[in-house]
Amino acid sequence: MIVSDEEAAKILRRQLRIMAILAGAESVGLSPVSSRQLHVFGYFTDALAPVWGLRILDVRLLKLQEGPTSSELQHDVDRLVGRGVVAVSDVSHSVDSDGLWRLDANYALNSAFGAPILDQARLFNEFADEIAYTREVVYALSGLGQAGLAHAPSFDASYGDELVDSGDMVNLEAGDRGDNLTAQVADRFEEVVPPGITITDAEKVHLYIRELYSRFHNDA
Amino acid sequence: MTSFPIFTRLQVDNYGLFPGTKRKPGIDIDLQSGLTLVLGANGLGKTTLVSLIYRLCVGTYDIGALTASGELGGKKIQARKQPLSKRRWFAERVNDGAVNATATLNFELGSTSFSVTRALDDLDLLELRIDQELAPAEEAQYQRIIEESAGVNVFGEWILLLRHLAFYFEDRRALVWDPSAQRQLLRLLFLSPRASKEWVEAERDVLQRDSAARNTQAVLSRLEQTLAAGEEAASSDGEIREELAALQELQAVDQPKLDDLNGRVSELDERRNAARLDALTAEGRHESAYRDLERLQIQTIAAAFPTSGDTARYLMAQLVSDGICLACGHRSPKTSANLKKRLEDKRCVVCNSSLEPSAPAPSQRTINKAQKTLDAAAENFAAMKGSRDALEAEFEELVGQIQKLNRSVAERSARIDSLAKRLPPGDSELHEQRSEISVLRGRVEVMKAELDDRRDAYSQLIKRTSREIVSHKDHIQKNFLDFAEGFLLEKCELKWAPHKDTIGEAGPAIQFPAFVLVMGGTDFSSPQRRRGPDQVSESQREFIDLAFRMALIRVAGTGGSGSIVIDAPESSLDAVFVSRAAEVLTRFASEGENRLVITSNLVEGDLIPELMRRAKIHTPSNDRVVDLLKIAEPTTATRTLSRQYSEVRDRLFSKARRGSKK
Repeated sequence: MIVSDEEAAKILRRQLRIMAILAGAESVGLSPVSSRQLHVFGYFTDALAPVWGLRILDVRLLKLQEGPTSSELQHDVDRLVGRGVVAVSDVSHSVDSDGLWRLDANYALNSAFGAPILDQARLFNEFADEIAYTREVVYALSGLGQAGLAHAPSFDASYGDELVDSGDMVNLEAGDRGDNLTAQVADRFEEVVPPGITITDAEKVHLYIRELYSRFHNDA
Repeated sequence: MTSFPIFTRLQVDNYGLFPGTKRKPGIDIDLQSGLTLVLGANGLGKTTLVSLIYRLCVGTYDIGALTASGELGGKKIQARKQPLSKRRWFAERVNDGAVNATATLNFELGSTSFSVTRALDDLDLLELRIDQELAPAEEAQYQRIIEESAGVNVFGEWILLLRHLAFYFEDRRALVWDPSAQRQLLRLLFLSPRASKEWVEAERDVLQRDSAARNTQAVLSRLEQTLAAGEEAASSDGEIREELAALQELQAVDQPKLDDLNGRVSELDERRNAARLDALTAEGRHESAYRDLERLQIQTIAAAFPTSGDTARYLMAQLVSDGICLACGHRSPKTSANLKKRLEDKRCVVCNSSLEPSAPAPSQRTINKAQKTLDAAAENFAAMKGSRDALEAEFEELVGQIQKLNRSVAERSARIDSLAKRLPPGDSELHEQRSEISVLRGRVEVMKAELDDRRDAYSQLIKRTSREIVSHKDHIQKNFLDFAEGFLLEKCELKWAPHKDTIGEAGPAIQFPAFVLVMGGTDFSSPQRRRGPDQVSESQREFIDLAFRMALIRVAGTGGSGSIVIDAPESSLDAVFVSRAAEVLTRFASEGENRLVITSNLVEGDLIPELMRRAKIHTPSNDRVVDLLKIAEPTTATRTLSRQYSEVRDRLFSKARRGSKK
């Protein structure tokens, strides 16, 4: 398979994200991760990426009743399974509420292959930042519990925005060309803390997810 | 809550087109809840009768951009009196100029009842009764009470409601494909009068400021040109003079070019976003088809490879599906073909031993079908991706052009300023001009800054109020589906899809509330967004529009009731769909206090008999039938061929009776 350096770097970055998600999930006892949960983790790492000044990997996605789903992320996992980096179990297929066939499976990081790759990546600041950030997002989301995690997107400022109907596009583009509401809301926590107190990017992520948690519980 | 009119009675007296009978001159129809049928022939005044009901409601007032393709901004919802020539529309249809002709319409609007009598020669208000009490017959008074009772802010909005929901005229704007009209209707129907008014006023304010800023800018540009010419003439330095003239000339060419490019950004961005969504949807369908095929292949492999682990099955399925080995990343179509062959021959995919499947495997036919679906989805995805990428490139190119042009205009402007400073001091007139321009420049800057602030505030207001409107979304969608499914066999639904539009000539696009139609079809494997009326058939277009109107009346009207007046709906229906259309129309007519007035020529189709059968109308003398053959002034055709017309009419009724007996 011939790919350009740029393409290879892109694929690598995407695959590292999945590995970081699975590693983070394992360390909070959430392993294996179902494909549904994996897509939710993937979505939030994208939506909150601007808070850490990181790039978004899937800028635009379809809003589906089932929750965020990225074909690219699914194919990245496929590749990692093929390389033995990710172990797959309980593979099945089902039709979701949007009438689309989807793959259901559970994924876990094969530490024998995965840990050395992540260690190697951490030697480089840029990747180390992305891995650390992904871990924070997974830690924060894992606090929602299984049910909370499943419903988190519907309470999210971007994916759950009632002005975006299912079947329409959720655009996470930040800056002049779009308004990533998720990152905007997370950034706004800075404005509501008492004067003299500063909050870190990691704390903004945790505060945002905690807000989702309280919305989920108020709604339940 | 908005109130839609419930028409209850129509009387027409002394109008030459409708002489009536000796026993019952003119027209006097009790519009009962349910269906009223106006039967006629060409030239007997069907459309005149419908127009008459409409004009009794609105008098001689109209709003701009009702039928044209132009935008329905807040600015145009102001009711204006028709020109004199148009006010005599009814007078010009009869010999006597309708000098003594009058018409009265009774209708309910919420809890208020109206009786409106107008002269037909000029549509002047002759008598007005509110809740049976006589009120001053003044147009302003009538309009004020209508605004109050209908729950609208201005009379123009009442006209908008009638044109878009109640009256189904030939020159109507199809609401589903008219985001600009939807924006106004949704505002009217689902916001409080106060919030609705705030929206309109903010929009008008932005439009006025935009126009004022552009006009002042134009004055400034003209003054700058005059000054440049004056300075050029006053200058003794030939080189500076020449350069100034050349730069001014280039500036005069580039500025309109820049305006034009800026004007295209929003439209291109809208198209680009639509293409992005199409590509995402196609990608989702492709992924689904891919996973379906994968599923079938896993089942096949599982049947032939019962002891394999999930990973092995997964790897094999991927290799068979798209020929890529997930273990090493290489493409290996040959191996993929070999494995497929082994699967087809029911042999082990690893060691090629002959196997009897332990569990039923999907048939090869099923797998081939899934493969075909995947191929079609892949083709569609590639096409959508191609369109999206082309539009992304076009957009980037446009933005690049604008940036480049902006840079050169700014650089040139700085150069012009610096050259002007190097000119020898001119006479007092030039000095005066320079100082005037400097003041004006400052003023333009202030105006632009204020405009940006107002635009931003307006955009926030739209965002806030859209949330109020979207809270009714599910209800509208459900009711639309209820009516649309009755008409159409295709999977058809409304999706909330805010529409981006700029207010004024430029500025950032604002997202306005709107719905878009998503519908399946013969050439589409899955439901697609139908962004324009051309993307559906004529009959689908009409009934989709009707379903949307009915849904809005049901959701937004007081008591979920209203009136719909349709002129000749049968033209585009084929025989099979007649019964479906009749069922939905009858269903709407039979709900609550709804009134459905349908006019039709005597045609041999099945819609009218079917409607009559369902409404239990069996004879022309039924009080739900307005028989224009009997009460309208005959045309040469109906007079000469009166027997044939009567036969056709009788056939329609006997068809309705036969249908009832079945």
